[in-house]
Amino acid sequence: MKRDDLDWSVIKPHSIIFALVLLLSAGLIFGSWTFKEDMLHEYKRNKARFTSISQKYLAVDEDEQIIRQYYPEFIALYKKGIVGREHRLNWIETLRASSERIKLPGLTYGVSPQEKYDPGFNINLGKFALFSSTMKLNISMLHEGDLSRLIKDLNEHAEGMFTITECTFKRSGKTFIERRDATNIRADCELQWLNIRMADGSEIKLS
Amino acid sequence: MLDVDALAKKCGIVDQVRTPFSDKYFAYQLLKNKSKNCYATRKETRYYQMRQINKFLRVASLVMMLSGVVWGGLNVLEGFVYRQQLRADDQKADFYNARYEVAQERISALPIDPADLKVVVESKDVLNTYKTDPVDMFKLISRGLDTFSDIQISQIQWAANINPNYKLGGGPSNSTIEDGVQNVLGFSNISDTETGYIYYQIAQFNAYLENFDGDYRRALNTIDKFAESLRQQDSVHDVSVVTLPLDIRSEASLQGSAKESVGKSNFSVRVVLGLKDEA
Repeated sequence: MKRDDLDWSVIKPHSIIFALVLLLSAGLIFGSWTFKEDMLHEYKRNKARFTSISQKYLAVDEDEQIIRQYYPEFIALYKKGIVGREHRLNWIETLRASSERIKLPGLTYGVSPQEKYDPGFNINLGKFALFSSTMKLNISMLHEGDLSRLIKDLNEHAEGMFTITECTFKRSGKTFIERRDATNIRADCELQWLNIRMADGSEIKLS
Repeated sequence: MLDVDALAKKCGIVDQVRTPFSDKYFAYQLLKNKSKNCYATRKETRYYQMRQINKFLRVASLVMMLSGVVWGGLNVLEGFVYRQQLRADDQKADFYNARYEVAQERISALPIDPADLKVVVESKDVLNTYKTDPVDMFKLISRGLDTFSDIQISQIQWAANINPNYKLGGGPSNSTIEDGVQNVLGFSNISDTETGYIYYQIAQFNAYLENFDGDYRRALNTIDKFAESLRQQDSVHDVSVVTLPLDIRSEASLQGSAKESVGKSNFSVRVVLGLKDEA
């Protein structure tokens, strides 16, 4: 059909309706698509924010769990002088008190300056380093039970952690003297007072 | 001969054909097929065509309208779902953010990182595992002496070390074969691989036999039994008799007096006690 053959008055209303519907439909589709895309974009952005925050929160939550689990013990270790500064005065006081409690015939001690300590076994210290103060004890004992009592007493009362690395025991005489102040055995022992500190030398300060 | 009425019925003509002629049948067949335009000009059929165009436009408008409404509706619906979800995520994000900030404040007040707290506490546990004292060794030797009352100990050297062959009394720890070892009952260099222990207590003690009457055979037998009784105890990794009252090795020089009734009964024993990881 040629253009001249068309009688516009006949097809005009339908053409206009068609054009309007076309525009309306296109507008409807475009508008709704834009709305959907905007929402999707916004949704993705929010999802990313939520994921990032929840991950950070989970990490912090994990940290809080670690704190709940380990912080009280850390504080206890700090107060006992195992972490941070060692409590030398307390060791000496405890030694004197223990010696009196056990009624040791004699006890002399000497503590060397603190040094870095290699325990010989594997230990993961992270940012920390292990230090030790060597304490040499010369103990006069009535019998070998005095030593175990002294160790028990030190474990219970001394602020710190120690391990005994070497000891030499000698009998004082051939016969056993059964008197409380008698010395039947002499022991020379080496104690390592262990101390955990920051490897970079900085102080751990509790508020 | 054909029955025109029967044929008409077969072809779908509802009315009964009462005449014997086939005119009705042919007329029906002709009317059934829409014949092509053979005579009308384009000008004469243009209104018909415009009517067809109008029909098409109406249908197209309807289809487009419906498509627009359905597609658009679906898009809007999807958009609302996203909006709903993003609002929920937003609320959750705000909630977690507030808690994160509070927690972060608490954590930043700590003297060290939480991970380091764990390291310190776990390090202390490891140190505790390896913590030693000579009490266990004392108990072990005491149990051994319970059945050998004639054995008297004059000196004990004790050390704790990761190396079961650690040399007592100083010197390099890798120098494990000690001077004067008679090797009578098997002083051994202990291989690390053969042990299930993580740490060792090593003691070497000098002892003598009280009321020794010069009977070396009996003395050696007593020492042998004493060493064996130590070996039978829990966690004992190695027991070696280092020196005996009489050095009877072929390569050693031996001298004494046959008339001398009582000689020396000194001997020394080395005991290695293993420490297992209890964790």
